[in-house]
Amino acid sequence: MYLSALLRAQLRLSLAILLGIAVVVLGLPTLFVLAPATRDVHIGSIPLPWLAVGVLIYPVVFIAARIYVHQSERIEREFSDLMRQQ
Amino acid sequence: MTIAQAGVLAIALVCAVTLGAGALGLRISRTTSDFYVAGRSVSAAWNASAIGGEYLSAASFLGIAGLVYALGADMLWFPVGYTVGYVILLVLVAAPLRRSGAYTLPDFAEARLESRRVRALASLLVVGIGWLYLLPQFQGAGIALSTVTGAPPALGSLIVAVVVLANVTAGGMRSITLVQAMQYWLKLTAISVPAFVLLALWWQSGAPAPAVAGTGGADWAEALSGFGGREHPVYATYSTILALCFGTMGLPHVLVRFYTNPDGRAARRTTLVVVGLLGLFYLFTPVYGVLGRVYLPTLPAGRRSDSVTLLLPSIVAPGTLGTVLSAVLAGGAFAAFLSTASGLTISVAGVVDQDFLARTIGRRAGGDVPRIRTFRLAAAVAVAVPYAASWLAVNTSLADTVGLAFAVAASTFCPVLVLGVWWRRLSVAGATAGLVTGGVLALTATTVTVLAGPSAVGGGWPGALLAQPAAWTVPTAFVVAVIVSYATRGSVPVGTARTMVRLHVPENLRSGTRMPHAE
Repeated sequence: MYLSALLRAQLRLSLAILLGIAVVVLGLPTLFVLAPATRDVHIGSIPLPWLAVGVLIYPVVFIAARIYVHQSERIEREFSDLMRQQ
Repeated sequence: MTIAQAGVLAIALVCAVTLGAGALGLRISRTTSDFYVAGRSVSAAWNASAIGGEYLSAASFLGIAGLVYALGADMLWFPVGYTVGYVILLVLVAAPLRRSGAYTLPDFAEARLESRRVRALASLLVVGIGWLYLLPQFQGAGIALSTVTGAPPALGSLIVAVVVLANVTAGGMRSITLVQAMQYWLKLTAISVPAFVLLALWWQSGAPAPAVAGTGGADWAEALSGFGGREHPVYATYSTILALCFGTMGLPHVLVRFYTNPDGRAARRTTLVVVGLLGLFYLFTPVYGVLGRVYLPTLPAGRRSDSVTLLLPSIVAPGTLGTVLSAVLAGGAFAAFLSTASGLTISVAGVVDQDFLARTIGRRAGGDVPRIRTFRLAAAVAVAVPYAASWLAVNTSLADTVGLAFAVAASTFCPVLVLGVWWRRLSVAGATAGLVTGGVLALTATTVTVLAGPSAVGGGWPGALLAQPAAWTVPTAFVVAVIVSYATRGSVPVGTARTMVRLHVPENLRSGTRMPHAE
């Protein structure tokens, strides 16, 4: 029964991170579809889609992965503490 | 020195270093378990470099630049998908897969579902996906060698096939871990240094804009316009992202690397480093596609867009500098073919050996054939088939063929891995139905696309759906696996509860033992 709690906590964390990534990765094409003007925005001389998809997206997903690793280790630490108290 | 001579020198050097490191590994690895997974004693940084080195293939080194060059902004999603695939793998399956203690995808399928039949099905799929992925490596080697030296394409493929076979049969995975880790840094250097030099020269000459003539005009630079001139670019974009993101975890050579992590926690940390290493590499590849548009608006006759990375230096910087940069890029490209092909060969050979050869040969010879010998035979089979196929299929682009392998992996292994790790009610029948449905749908769609082209079904939506099948085949496989599992509650494996504990509970809490390597 402790296992179900662990599983639920880990799954909730995974789904939250997945949702965050989906918002960024699937959200960008959606933004370009719904607001075509964003395709022509230039930052310096680089068009926004090139900058966002070609460069900025990488640090964002790395940070998401980092948050996941820290949080899942925290969940496991709490689970370990709980088991040791038994 | 001509470009051809410099290129040959660089390629020969990469091959020699690869074989040398392989021979070194041979001296270290002595037992069969070392031979397979490097004794599970590889540190996170080494392991992450090795994963990156193995993963960055012909499609990454040459293919992405070729796609960006030919089709423009939408192609930037390919490297994003290759990278995010590791984040999805990390979030959904990394630690549990390491904790399962299995060596290969079929091992996992058998351990989780307790069924020899599911194992056999998984083995078939590993071999199929592995071969589909090996094919563009051999083709890429042919393109690279003929672009730099003018040699016939078949020669480049042959060189990669021979070097990979020699290395794999000699050293097994220990040498491969060492070789692969080195290959990542070699490839990063080979892609980044020429990119900086070319960008500097471009900047110096007043930063001329990319010429978009012959690409459908201004559309080239604009998002959601091209996607190969396909009719439904928005659908194609989403479906490609989905295939790449969910396909990574089902690639045969990706999973086997996780068993060289000491435990589940290390598997996660390794994957995080991998995400960083891949992102760093992919910052540089589109540069070649964009600069290609600036300096090389039309390709020389007989050249494919996949060769743009290798053609660029001699045009931007004629003379010695261009020659040196061309040689560096050719060497890096060969490193990419060698490392990915080695990893795939190890995985495919491992499955061919364990599931097909060892049993048959063992039975015939009275069960006393050394494992190393059957493994070597399996490696020969693993290389020979896609090498022969590379002579036949020459017209699909590198990244497209790789994309097909991802789509099949996403439609088959992804549902079984994700449901297997998180859902206790997955039944043997459900997993089988998911694998078969996803496999048949994705393979049919890709076969029709490759052989006949999307226009064969009248273009429009049917063509778009077949060319990028993942958006409908992946959900279908998931739904089928879930529905069939609900309908066949009796065939849920008896040991599911025990297996779930093993997959999710940290190693230091395993009852009965304090040892992380208890399996």
